[in-house]
Amino acid sequence: MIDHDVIIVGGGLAGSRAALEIVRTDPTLSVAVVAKTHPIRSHSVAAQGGIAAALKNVDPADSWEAHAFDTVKGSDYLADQDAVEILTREAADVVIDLEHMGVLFSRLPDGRIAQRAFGGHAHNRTCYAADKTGHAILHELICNLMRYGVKIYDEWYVMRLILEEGQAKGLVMYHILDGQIQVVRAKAVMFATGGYGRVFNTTSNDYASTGDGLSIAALAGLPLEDMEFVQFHPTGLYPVGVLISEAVRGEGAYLINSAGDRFMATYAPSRMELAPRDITSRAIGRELRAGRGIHSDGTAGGPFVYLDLRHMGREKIMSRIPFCWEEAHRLLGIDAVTQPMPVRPTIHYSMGGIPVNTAGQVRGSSDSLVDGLYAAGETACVSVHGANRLGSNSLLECVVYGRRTGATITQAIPTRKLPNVDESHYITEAQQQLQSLLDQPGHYRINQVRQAFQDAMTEFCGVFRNASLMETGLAQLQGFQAQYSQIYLDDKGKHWNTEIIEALELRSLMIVGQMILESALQRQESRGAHCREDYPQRDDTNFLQHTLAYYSAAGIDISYHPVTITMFEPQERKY
Amino acid sequence: MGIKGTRWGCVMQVCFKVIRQSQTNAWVQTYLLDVEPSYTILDCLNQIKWEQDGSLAFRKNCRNTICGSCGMRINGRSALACKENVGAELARLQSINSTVISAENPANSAPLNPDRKSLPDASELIPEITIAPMGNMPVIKDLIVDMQSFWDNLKAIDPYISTRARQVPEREFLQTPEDRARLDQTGNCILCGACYSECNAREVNPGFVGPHALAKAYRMVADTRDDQTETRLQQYSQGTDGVWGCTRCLYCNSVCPMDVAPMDQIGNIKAAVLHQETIAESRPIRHRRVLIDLVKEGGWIDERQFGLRVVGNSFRDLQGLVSLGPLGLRMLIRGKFPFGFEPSVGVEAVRSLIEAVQDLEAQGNPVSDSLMSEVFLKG
Ligand SMILES: Cc1cc2nc3c(=O)[nH]c(=O)nc-3n(C[C@H](O)[C@H](O)[C@H](O)COP(=O)(O)OP(=O)(O)OC[C@H]3O[C@@H](n4cnc5c(N)ncnc54)[C@H](O)[C@@H]3O)c2cc1C
Ligand code: SF4
Ligand code: SF4
Ligand code: FES
Repeated sequence: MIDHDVIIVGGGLAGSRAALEIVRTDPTLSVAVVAKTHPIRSHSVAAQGGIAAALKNVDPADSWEAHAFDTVKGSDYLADQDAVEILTREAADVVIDLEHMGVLFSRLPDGRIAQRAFGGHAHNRTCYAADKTGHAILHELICNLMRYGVKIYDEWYVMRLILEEGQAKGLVMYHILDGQIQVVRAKAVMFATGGYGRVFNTTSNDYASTGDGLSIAALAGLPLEDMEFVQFHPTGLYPVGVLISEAVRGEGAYLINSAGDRFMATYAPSRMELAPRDITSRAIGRELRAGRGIHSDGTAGGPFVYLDLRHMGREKIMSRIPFCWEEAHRLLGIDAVTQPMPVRPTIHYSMGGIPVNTAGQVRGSSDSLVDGLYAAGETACVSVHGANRLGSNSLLECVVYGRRTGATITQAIPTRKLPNVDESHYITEAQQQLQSLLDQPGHYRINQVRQAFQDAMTEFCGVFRNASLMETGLAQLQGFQAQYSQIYLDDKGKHWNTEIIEALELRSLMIVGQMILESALQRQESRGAHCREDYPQRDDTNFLQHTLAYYSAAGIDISYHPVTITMFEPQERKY
Repeated sequence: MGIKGTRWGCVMQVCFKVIRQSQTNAWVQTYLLDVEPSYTILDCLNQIKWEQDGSLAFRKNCRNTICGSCGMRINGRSALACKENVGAELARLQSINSTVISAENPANSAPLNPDRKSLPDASELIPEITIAPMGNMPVIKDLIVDMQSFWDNLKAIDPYISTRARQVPEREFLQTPEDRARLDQTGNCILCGACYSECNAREVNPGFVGPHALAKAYRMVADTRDDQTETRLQQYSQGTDGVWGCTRCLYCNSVCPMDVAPMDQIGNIKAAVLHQETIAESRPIRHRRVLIDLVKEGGWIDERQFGLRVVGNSFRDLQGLVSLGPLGLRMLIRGKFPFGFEPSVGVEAVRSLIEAVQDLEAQGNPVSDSLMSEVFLKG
């Protein structure tokens, strides 16, 4: 058994910022970060566009209140406003702290941090590092973890949470290198495991975004909040799905249909291409349905629209958004200076997650907290994004709430003892689970089942939803779950066996998929990213509340949790 | 997911030869794939893993050239599997082949050995792409290498901005776009290991921290916010572990997928170190700061200033110097640097040199940076 004061699962922005907060405050604490990739490979590294904060470097009229309003409006009024207030008030502070740490922000001519426009934000407040903001922040954070001697378990896969008598006591983890299983005991356990984009077949997310933390929490009997709110990013490069950052539209790119029209004029005349993501994604969806999409040969009626940069000119493209040009060039052989890029919505972000309070403590139910368990980042739901997240608010959430959660943990540790854990039981259980995966004869490849499941999720729980679609999806899901016990692995060893990991991840994906479908089916309204064709209106009377979904082998139970409204009364959301 | 439907090209057959390794064995395994020219090498490896052979091990994550996971040797040189695509690889192979052929059979001359078969026409064959693990790191399995030394060496250069000795402002440190632009290149490193994998110096000198670490080191030296420049320059120029261990083989520059150009950054550190020394010799201590000032003023060594303060000092002919013009100055400056090794220099020679220096040090004769550079110059 391994002992630490604090064990953090996930080395992205949220996990590493929390770890840093703890060791900077109290260097005597033993803090460990475990990640199934090396932390520096975490999905956060791929964030491009930027991080929002009302620094007022370009727009003196900006304020944290304005940022808070944009965030709440963007959330379709489902965000908890106390959490949004903290997010936006602390934003400037955390960004300055990152700058002092060495993060390579882009600069204004006078040397201050540059800020750009972003979808749904009424002021230019997105700080950025060219189009590699996540990379710039994560690399600095991880190098600082080295500096402070945080123990890093890289390429260890966390299989389960040890939760006994309502107290989080530690983890069971698997070493990808050699198949070793270890129980880690800790005074505080934190989840920062990121999102679940791989539940769907087209996503901007990396391969590791499989919702493991969510499924581990669900299997431990903890609720998941607002899982029906899945963000589609309007501009995934067709057909691969990789992201063309919103910064590209922030810098002035157009969306055009087969007729060559800037169709956003129909859907969001005041914000045009910079409308929030849910609105822009649906607009593209409607254009495609109306036959104004484009085919690969340029004719109408196809599966994508164009993102057009041509009017911006080579110099601006190459200096402000070089990565976007490079992506289209590398993956499709397109020169965005002279050719438009094919795009369509791609699954991008999970608004829901493990419910936490504003101190980062995990909720065991609507009115209780789990002792010793914390969460932050994309895997958590605090909820600052409500039904739809604004671009560049997620990195901010990771840093603000990573820091806050780290601070909560640091304060709690002195009064906590290492819990008693009977490790043998957990080790045997994990060994059996892996052995049965290796031994099961099976006749499906992992990818066959995964691909079919992802296709079904995309078809039955996509941009546009309705009850009959989702019921079909749930029925099919049962079939895939039955197939799971019939998958086979080619690799029977325990030495860097990534098939074992893919099989475990597939289990996570299916649990998360089921939680999304059930939560979405029960929410009989349209709000933010959740668009029900059978219930096209927002329904504040019945659904201005958060979903809490509880998983069990027998099925999923849904209950609700009130929304905190402190500053802005819900209004109709128009752009 | 990886590949759905078809992209923009035609489907073709390609043969992937993967150098595989287990705890006990090493072998070459061949996989035949139907792919399109636009598929990345990573798409192809996924196709192998998901449809043909689940036991093949490789790292991946972002599939978008930013996480640094997928470094491996593709057709002989280290690269990112998610960056290179089938079409470009085959074109590259073809151009290498044709260079080989034309070198063997110079134009207008009959083949030296008429019996020897010329390389078959590519179109007659199923094209082959060879995949192997990165070098300079122990193989764990298939394409997975143990990167521990890579991380340890990064850590060894203190890869974080230190502002301990500075008054930290309430707001951000000011950094002009020009200062910031000087960090673009080094700031783009994704720590993929491609440079480290090919590094000549790493091959012969286990103490050498590697191009990735030294590129990062220069980032620290050039960042106007860092206050440890002097200490860093000393640290980075110790023995052969730092900048003087580089043999200037150029491989890091040529394989780096992010254009970090580690060898150039090493050159920048050397310039700063030599500059520091020259000044220290002529006007002890008081003027050691000039260099740091220079770096801090502009984040790098301004060549004109450098020329005036350093070269001008040794030649005492300012006028003549100025008449050389910027180009001449630059050449003069470059001339001071150890240019002795080209890629062609044998690994053995490098090793013996490094050992000679290490012997000297072991005998208690500290090897100064300038002596070091002399050794290299002579080499
Ligand atoms: C392409 C792209 C661009 C984006 N751009 C922006 C942007 O410009 N601005 C913005 O605000 N947001 C952006 N986002 C969103 C933002 O990047 C993410 O929401 C955020 O980085 C999530 O960080 P995180 O720390 O929560 O998790 P991640 O960075 O995803 O890290 C998850 C960590 O958990 C580990 N982990 C997961 N499961 C396990 C397990 N079972 N065992 C062990 N370890 C595990 C992983 O290894 C990893 O270290 C973007 C997202 C994408 C996909
Ligand atoms: S310098 Fe280039 S090759 Fe080396 S680790 Fe960084 S990105 Fe990779
Ligand atoms: S130039 Fe120097 S650092 Fe770069 S690969 Fe060659 S020896 Fe290594
Ligand atoms: S998979 Fe991330 S760099 Fe290739």
